[in-house]
Amino acid sequence: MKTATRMITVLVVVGLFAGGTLSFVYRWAKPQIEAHERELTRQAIFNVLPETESYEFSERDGVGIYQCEDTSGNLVGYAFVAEGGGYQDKIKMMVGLRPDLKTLGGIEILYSMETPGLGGKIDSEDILQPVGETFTEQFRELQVSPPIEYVKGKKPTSPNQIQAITGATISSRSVVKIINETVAKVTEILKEEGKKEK
Amino acid sequence: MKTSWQLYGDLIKGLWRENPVFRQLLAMCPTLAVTTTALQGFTMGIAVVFVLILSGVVISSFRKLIPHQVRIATFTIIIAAFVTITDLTLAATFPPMSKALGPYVPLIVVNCIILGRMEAFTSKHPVSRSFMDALGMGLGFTLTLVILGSIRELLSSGAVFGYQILTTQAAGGWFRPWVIMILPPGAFITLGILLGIINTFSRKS
Amino acid sequence: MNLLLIFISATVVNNFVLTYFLGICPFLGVTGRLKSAFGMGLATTFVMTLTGGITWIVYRLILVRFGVPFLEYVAYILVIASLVQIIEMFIRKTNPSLYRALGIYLPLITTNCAILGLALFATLRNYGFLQSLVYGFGAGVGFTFVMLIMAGIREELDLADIPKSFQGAAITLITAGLLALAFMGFSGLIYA
Repeated sequence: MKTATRMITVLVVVGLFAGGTLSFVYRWAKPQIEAHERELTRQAIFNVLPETESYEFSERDGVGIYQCEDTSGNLVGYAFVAEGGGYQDKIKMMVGLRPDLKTLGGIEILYSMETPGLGGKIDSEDILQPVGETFTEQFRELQVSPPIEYVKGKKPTSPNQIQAITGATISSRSVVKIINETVAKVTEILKEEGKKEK
Repeated sequence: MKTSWQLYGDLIKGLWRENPVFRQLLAMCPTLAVTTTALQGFTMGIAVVFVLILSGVVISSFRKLIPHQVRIATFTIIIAAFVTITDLTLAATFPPMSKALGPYVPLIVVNCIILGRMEAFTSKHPVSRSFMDALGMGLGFTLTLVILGSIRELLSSGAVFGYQILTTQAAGGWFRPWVIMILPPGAFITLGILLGIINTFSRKS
Repeated sequence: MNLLLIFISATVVNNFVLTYFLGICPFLGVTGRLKSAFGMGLATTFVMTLTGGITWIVYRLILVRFGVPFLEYVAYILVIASLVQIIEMFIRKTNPSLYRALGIYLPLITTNCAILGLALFATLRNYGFLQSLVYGFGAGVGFTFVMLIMAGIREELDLADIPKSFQGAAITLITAGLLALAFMGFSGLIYA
């Protein structure tokens, strides 16, 4: 066999074999990977709106919204993913909004890459003082109208305030900003829909 | 005739004398990146062992059929394929670890240890010896990662493999975690000091 | 995302060497002399910019089109290896002295994790064609920047009195750590 032909044959054979094997493994792995993603989303939704029994996903105006209902079929709230820039990298979280569109059910951080020990506390079990809660716990049943504000070093005084993490103002500020902006957007979408149905 | 002593030698040399990281100074990138905890380092190490052995066995078996001029290209395709398989398998079976290791799993493709071994040893030796060599190098690499990961994890959180050894101040103890250990500077400096210490010992022996 | 932001982010805020630990091999190996560091950096930047663009094309127009996203790693490394091969032949024909100067470093660019890394990151972040190009260019510039700094420091270090065991890789790593510490000051520069 001429050398050039041999070279090409070997490369083609190896390439085909690799491609074939890979497509098999991919077909096996893909459903599992997708199942994991769905499970993570499920858990996040249950976390931010705990009374949820079932939910329905729909994409409205480019925003994916999960409409959540409890065991009796009553509307428990809306869950959606909010994303934006943090201090070092993006921050992604699941936000639960109550049907009155003025109160949060809660939030869960899905992805963040902030400074460990400082901004990283947005996703930790560390209790902040003096407010006495973890960072994300503060968002349970928090008012978003008027928009959320943050205070430093002291206990929040209004129902729409949270305490920022000491030494991680920018990370805390980013979380608040992302929630406010996304909630505003979702509220607008839902209100438009309400108008259309009438 | 391969003697079992020879095979044993092939295996052991990767652990210390020809340790891929400390002696050959290869694969620094993942060594620094995925050693924030001991478990992370361990998982990455095992992934590399996996790819090393699979690629090694395949390449060694077919070494007489691969033309010299395209050997690097062929090795690369085979390695990349096995890395993809490892990545998919990890994502499907251990998703949290897959996310923690992130893009460093596909970067195993350019891990100089693998291509280096294939070129220097595997393509020139029979399967049994190549297997041992690959296993030894991989285990040596894993050992390095676990050592570095343990140091960094211990100093940054007081735990090793998740087991709390030093009680942190937050939990009422005395230890104040060195956050720097989780960050890039900590990785560089720890590896540098470790390398210096190991060089001191090898110099004496 | 704004192209300028991508560029600055890739160059200093999330420097490939000091933040992502990519490109350490040449960082340790080729920074003995300023001249070689500069040459390596230049060649790498060139390859990186082209890689950014070409891998985008390969991903969107071939892999996604034919429904085989799992061939990403195989395809990318082949693209990079071919690119380096082509550039090597090109330099050999057009500028033999440069070719001799770069010597063995040229083929080594293929295994530079920074190049594959940048291709993977750009795909992960869904960058467009222009963004991927700028990202590759920024990553290369950041890489060259750090290479030059390290080479400058090491040329001075040669005259210093370093314990024998720490000479070479060990002291370079420790220096890199201090550099990384300094570069951490850049984070938060771009507050989105």
